[in-house]
Order: sequence, then structure tokens, then C-alpha cells
Amino acid sequence: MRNSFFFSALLHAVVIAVTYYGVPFLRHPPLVMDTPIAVEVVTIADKTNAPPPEAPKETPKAKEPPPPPEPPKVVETPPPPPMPAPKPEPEPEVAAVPPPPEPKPQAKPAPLPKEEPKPAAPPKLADKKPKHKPKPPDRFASALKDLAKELKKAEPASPAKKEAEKKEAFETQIAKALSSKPRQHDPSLPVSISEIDMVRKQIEKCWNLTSGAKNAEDLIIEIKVEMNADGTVRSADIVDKGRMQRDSFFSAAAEGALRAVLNPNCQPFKLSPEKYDQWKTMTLNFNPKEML
Amino acid sequence: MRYGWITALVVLSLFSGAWPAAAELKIDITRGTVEPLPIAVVDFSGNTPDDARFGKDISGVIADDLERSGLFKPIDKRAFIQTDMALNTLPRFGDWRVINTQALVQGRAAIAPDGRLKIEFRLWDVFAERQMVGLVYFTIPDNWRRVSHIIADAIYKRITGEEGYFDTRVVYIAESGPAIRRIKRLAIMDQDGENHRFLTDGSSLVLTPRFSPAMQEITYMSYYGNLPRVYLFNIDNGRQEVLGDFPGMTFAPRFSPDGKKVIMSMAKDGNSEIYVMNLGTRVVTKLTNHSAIDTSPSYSPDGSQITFNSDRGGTQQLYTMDADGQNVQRISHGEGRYATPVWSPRGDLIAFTKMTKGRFFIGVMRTDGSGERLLVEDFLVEAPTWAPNGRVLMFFRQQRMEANKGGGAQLYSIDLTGHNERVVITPVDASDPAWSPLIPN
Repeated sequence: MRNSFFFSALLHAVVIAVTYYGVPFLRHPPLVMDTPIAVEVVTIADKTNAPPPEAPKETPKAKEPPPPPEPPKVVETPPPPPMPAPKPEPEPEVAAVPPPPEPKPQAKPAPLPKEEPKPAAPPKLADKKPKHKPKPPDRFASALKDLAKELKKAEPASPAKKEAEKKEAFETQIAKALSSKPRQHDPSLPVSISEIDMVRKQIEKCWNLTSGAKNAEDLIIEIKVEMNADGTVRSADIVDKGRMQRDSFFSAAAEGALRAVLNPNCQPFKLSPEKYDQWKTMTLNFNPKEML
Repeated sequence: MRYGWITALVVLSLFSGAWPAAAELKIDITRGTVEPLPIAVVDFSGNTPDDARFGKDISGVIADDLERSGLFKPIDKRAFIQTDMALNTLPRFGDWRVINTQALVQGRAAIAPDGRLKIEFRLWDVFAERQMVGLVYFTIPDNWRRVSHIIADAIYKRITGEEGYFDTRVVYIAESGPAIRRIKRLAIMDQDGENHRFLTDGSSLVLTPRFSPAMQEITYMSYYGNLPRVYLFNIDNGRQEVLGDFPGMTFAPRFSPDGKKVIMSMAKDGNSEIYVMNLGTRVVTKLTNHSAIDTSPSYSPDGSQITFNSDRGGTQQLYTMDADGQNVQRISHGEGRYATPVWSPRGDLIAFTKMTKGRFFIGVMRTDGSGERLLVEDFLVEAPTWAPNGRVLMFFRQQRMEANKGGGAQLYSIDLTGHNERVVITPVDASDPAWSPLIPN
């Protein structure tokens, strides 16, 4: 009797367990063939990581004086074009020509000092707001207010009063939270994609493409840039020097890209100075694919 | 077990390589602007007033050439801050950056004691603060204009990477007189319209002139004694000769890229075929054999292929074939009729005239017929010809003809991107231009 009860209990337990968990060998979960989704891990614009106004200054290194001009190459005299009139013209003599004098060192103008770095980065909007407006996160707060008003209208008056008070408190809390200045700024965070976009926009304005070049889609140029802390370019170098020698189309395109990087009208790059360590050297990849 | 360890090691090594210690910031720039490059061409200096006058004229021609290309924007000289430039000292780059100069040209002209003109110039990259090119030329003073074009070509090449086209000439058909008694003369000029002269007197009608790659000869079609034939004209000595002794009318001639052959059409019994004549041996070879009309042949720059138009498919369309006439392929498939295909000297495109819905177009397509782009549309636009760098096209445009007046045909140039259309100034009405190769030194 006792055994039967035991077996009965055991069997019941087994049945319950099987119902709950399922029989392991009878049910194979169907293979899920999900198409893989490519995910690019990027840092989205993070306003909360905006740099504080006091940007550290660093005087950019003075540029090395450029090398003196090379003496022009002497080219053989081009003869006058063949004239249709039969009258022959004297052919100019071709003579070896001494190169023009080397530039005198004393006459060389001193290299221009680089423009002073602009004063510290302007304070960010978030920091300025409280000075001008008593309630800084006005939009959000007002949106909440509207919401609160609507709720007030909808709900009966007496019990809603307390609720409204609570909401008011909540609202002010949010307002406080939003307006509370110095946000935690972490310079170790990666340069955000919005900052990269900003720099991209800056350089695009200065990149003057020579359109109509043959096989322009192959003219992809990498430029290695060393930056000053104020966002100006200290030096820029075309990576593929070998191709510069071989391919005149490439070298023209590469020099065009270099001019875009060096163009003072498009500097300083708007990158946060705290992350200087991360962008003090960077590689710019010029690919005209969207322009073809 | 041993394999397990090896596998583990391999997997480990793969993963350790996949994560670099610190990723460097990389930014892709995929868009830019298409604007002319701001360039400052300073008046070339000179020690004497004569030298200085040469210098000013030379820099003027250079700036005009560059401006006309549409790829450069010469900066107004009144904006220059540095005016005391000497050729053997570095420019004050900061002064040039202030006025948004990206490239700077300076130079010097001097008449040497032996009477020759010495012209030297330097091209500076203002942002990189370095010299891009510096050259010296010697020539007779009368030749200053040509040297200016050569310098403009050197600047153009250094900055765009493409060969220049300023040191070139254009032959065209100069037209004058009323429509019913139109006088058509062969004329030649520099690509900027200077040094213009007529090559024939207008007593016989001339059409479709084409330059030889060697420059001394032009081939064209002329109605001499009312018999239309292909002629050769020697620019050096002014001699003309009929090319070949064909039983029918020959027309639409063009040189092969090596200048040793002339390809043309011959019409006989209402049908026209394409022939090629070896100028050395005078041997003539028939390349097409079809009951349809085949005409307007043009060689590819390597001489291995020929493009032409034919109505063998029912309408007039463009075709390509090998230089021996084999492997004929139709390349145009659009609406309307296509004519006058011209292979680009760069090899990548074919320019053509298209006629559809009563309008004329000048367009370009790739050599396989893809990527058709129409650049110009008008009542009558025709006869595209390539600049030697394959980047600029010249053509003519004609307004509706009236009985007692000329049609007002004029030459135009346009960039192959469809921008920068310019009138080419000629003393009389002009049609059927042919651009020369770069003038050999």
C-alpha cells in the first residue's frame, strides 16, 4: 500500500515534470535560420559627454620653415609652330642654360607664425542655458506641463490635487536633473559619430574635386593627419607615396585632398579637446564614390 | 587531444590579432565640392619695360587659358596683398591664404643678350607651402604666346593630372556669304582664337577637315570640279593632293592614331562602305561589306578598334568593329538616330551627334554604349571633336537658316561633364571644327 502510494506519487511527479519540461528526446526545437544582421558598433552622439567650457590650451608648434624653392628645370626651347605660310622663320637656338640663382637665405621671408589658436572652445549650449532662462529645460518641462494639464482636465478634481502636486514635484525634479550642470564628462569615451560627422562636413566643404577625371572611382586617397590640440592641423601626409610617383591622376587627386585638409578656412576641426589623445593622429580617407 | 590543443592555440591567436590595442580615428570623406580652383597668376616680372610688358602679356594668356578651362578661377589682381614678388625668394604664403589662393604662379621674362626671350615660372601650392613645378623656356620673342600656352599646360597638368590642351590649334570651315552662295574656306587658329588664318581661298567647297596626329597635314573633303573627294593638305607648304583614285565619292576621312593611314567612306551606287588607305603604300582595304550605309569611321586611340555609324539595324546607330573590320557590334540603343561618333583620345568615351524629335544633341557614351549622357541640345548642334586630353569637346551650333543671311553657325567648347560651355570666337561664321593634337616641340 505504502509502496503503491510511493510509486503513484513518483509517477505523478514524472508526468508533471514531463508536462512542464517536455520529453527531451521527442521534441527538437526547430532550427532558427535567422539572417544575420550586420551591426556596426558606433558611439552615438552623446550630449551628456559634452566637454566643459574650460578647454585646455596648447600652443601649436610653429611650422618648420618650408624648403627654399628648387631652381626651375631648364626646358629645351619649343620651336615656333609650323606656319601654314611658306615663309620660314629662324629656328631659335637651343642652348644650355644656367639655372636661376639659388634663393638668398637673408632674403627669405621668415615663415609666418601660425595663427593664434582661437580662444577656448565656446561654452556649450547646455552650460549657457541657465543664465538666460530661469527654467532651463523649458521645452521638456512645458511638454510635461501640457501633459499634466490634460491629465488634470481628464481626472476628477479633488483626488487629483495630490497627484498634481506629486507631478509638479516630479517635474521640478526632472527640470533640476536636466539643468544640473557639470555633467560627468569622460574623456576616455571614444570620439562620437556626431563629432566625426562634423569634421567630415567641415572637410567636405573644402574638398574640391576635379570632376570628369578618368577612372575617378579608383582615386581613393588616404591622408595621415597630425593634429594640434586646438583642432588645427599640424601636419598632413599622403600615405601612398609610391603611387604619387607613378600615377599623375592619383598625385593630382591626392594633392587636391591634401589642400582640403590644409585649407585654413575649414579649420579648426570641431573635436572635443578632452579627447585629444584619441584624435591627435587620424587617417582621412578620401573616396569620391558619392560624387561619381 | 594533441589536435585539441593545437586548435585552441590557433583560435586564441586569431582572436588576439583581431583586437588592436588602440584603434586610430579614421574618417571617410565621400563628398566634395566641384568648384574652380582659386589660382593667382602674378604678372611675370621683368627688368626693363620691354621685359615687363612681355611678362604681363604672358601671365595674361596663362590666366585666360586656365580660366577658359573652367577648372580654375584666376583671382583678381587688385586683391593681391604681396606685390613685391621675386622669383628667387619664397612667397609670403600667409598673404595668399588670406585672399583664398590655393595655387600661385609667378615668373620672370627677360630678353637675353642674344635676342632670345627667357621665360621662367614657378607654381606654388599655397597651403602646403611648396613648389609644385618650376621651368625655364628659351624662345624667339615672337613665340611668347605659344610659350604661355605651354606654361598653362604645365600648370594644368600638374594640378589636374591630365595633359593640357592649350598648346593646340583648331581647323574649321569658315563660312561667309548668303545661304544660296555660301563660301566655305578652310581656316586654322590657336585654340584661343588667336593667330587666325585662312588656308584655302574658297573657290571650292570644303568639308570635314581632320588633323593628322603628326600635325603637318589635314585631311578633308572638297568638291573640286564638282567631284567630291578626300584631300590631304600640308600645312607647312600649302600643297593639296587627292587621296586615292576611287570610282565613287569619298568623304568623312580621318587619320589613324599613328598618322600612317586614312580611314574614309566611299559611296557607290547608292551604298557607302568604309575603306582604309595606307598613306605609305597607297594600298586601299575595304573594311565593311553591307547593303546598308556605313560611314563616319573613327579609330580608338590605340588603333585596334573603329567606331562608325550604320543603318544596318533599320535606323542610323553607332557600331564598333576591330581595325580589320571583324567583330561588328552595335553600341547605341537609344531613341532617334546617332551620327558622327568620335573616339576620345583618352579612350574611355565616344562622342556623337544624336537626332531625335526634330532636335540635335551632342553626347558621350562609354565605348560599350553604356552611360549615355547628352551634353548639349539645340536646333542644330553637330560635329563634336575632342581636345587632345579627352576632357573638352568642341562642336558647332547653327541657328535656323534664312534665305539671304547666313545661318550664324558658331563654334563652342564644353567640358565633358556638361559644364562650362564657351563660345569660340571666330572672325566669320564657323562650322565643322577639328581639334589638333598637342603641338609637338
